[in-house]
Amino acid sequence: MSSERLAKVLGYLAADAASHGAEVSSESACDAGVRLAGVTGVQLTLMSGPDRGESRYATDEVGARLEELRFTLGEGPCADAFRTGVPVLAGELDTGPNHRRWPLFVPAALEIGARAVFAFPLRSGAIRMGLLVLHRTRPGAMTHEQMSDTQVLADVILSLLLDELTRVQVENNTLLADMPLRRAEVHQATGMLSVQLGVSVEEALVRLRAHAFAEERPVIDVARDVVARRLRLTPEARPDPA
Amino acid sequence: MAETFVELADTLVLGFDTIDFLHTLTERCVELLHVGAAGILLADQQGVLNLVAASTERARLLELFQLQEDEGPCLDCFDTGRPVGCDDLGAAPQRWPRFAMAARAQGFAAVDAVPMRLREQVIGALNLFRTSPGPPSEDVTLLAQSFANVAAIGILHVRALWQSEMIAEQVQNALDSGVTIQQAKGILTVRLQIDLADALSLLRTHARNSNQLLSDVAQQVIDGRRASST
Repeated sequence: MSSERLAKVLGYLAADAASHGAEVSSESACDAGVRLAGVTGVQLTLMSGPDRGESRYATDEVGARLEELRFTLGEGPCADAFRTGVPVLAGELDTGPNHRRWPLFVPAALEIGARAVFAFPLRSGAIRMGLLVLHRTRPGAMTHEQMSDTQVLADVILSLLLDELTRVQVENNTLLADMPLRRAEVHQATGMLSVQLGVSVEEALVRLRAHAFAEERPVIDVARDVVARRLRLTPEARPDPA
Repeated sequence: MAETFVELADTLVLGFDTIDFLHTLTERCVELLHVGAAGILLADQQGVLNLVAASTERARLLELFQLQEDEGPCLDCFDTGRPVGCDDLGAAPQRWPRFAMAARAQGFAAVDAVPMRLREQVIGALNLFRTSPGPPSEDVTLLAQSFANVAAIGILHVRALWQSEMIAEQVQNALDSGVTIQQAKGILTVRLQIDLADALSLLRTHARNSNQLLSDVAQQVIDGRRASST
């Protein structure tokens, strides 16, 4: 029953936060989610489109880097979950079908130590708001119980996050539009490259990502180089990730 | 192999009933906090408290008693927005003499009430009834407040779905316009050979002078309509 499931998850979150002397928040809920779902790490991203995402929290480094991979490569279970609006669960990444399905993502994810990735879309009605991404450093599928719990957890985390964002807005008397972006440099670099290369901003982001991929660096690092004018991409230099 | 599951009927939160949820929550509360019983009073739109859930019939009676007699910890907790309680309902004098008598008649020796808050507003209170006297352990106090918080979130989750959808849209717009503004800043730094801070003040000044939104001006920069003539 769904209300029992919700009560179970909320009760779990309450107990977990209290044991740390903390209030329940979107972040504490991610932390609690690690044990609730039996995973290694949990990561939370707020999104308004595949190219417009803000990592809000990651319980560990692997989680943070998985989000980086989603943003750099534009493929993988996380990208698919956001696109389709349904959870995409890969209990074992390192299989032939998965290598064929996500030829860039799978080797990169294995490289950083992820063996299983479970991507749950965050939805508010019809609006896709982001992703809750869980990972394991050892392969293994989620049980039905863990899947159901995580689905509810994702809904609760979105409620918490929206509530927190609204609260910040009320307390600081600011507009949500002033919300600081954590990937600001990526978007700044995108704008700069569009002028330097004479292309659209969409194309400029593709170039930025391709460069990051070819250099095996996070997009944000490359973007910082562009913004600091340490790096200038040339129109002809266009490594192709595909 | 990656599997996609669409079968969410079991877990969709949209359909469940608030009262049902709160009732389950009071039962969880009893289990986890090792108290005798728990009850939740919730304010309606007019700010009038109503009983919404109780783990047992005895707790339900005591919650109703407080509402009818206009006396008791849950009411004081709601009014003050602070936790209140009584560690020994048998001691004298009693803050709530009629309630204390009724509670002891139901077999309870101590009571705690913690406020349920949604943002700054107190929306109700969670009552915990204990069968032996004495102060609650620190764990129980923390946990009770945490429970009250999640109960409030649960209500937010259910009651204000339309509202959260509105917020969701605002958040998406904020993300979109944030991205647009950063991109426009980047464009201006290269076109005009200025730094990011100057690019932002240029955008701001133009938005103010032309009475437009910053994000709209930024979009125009991206669309190339305003070129480098600024």
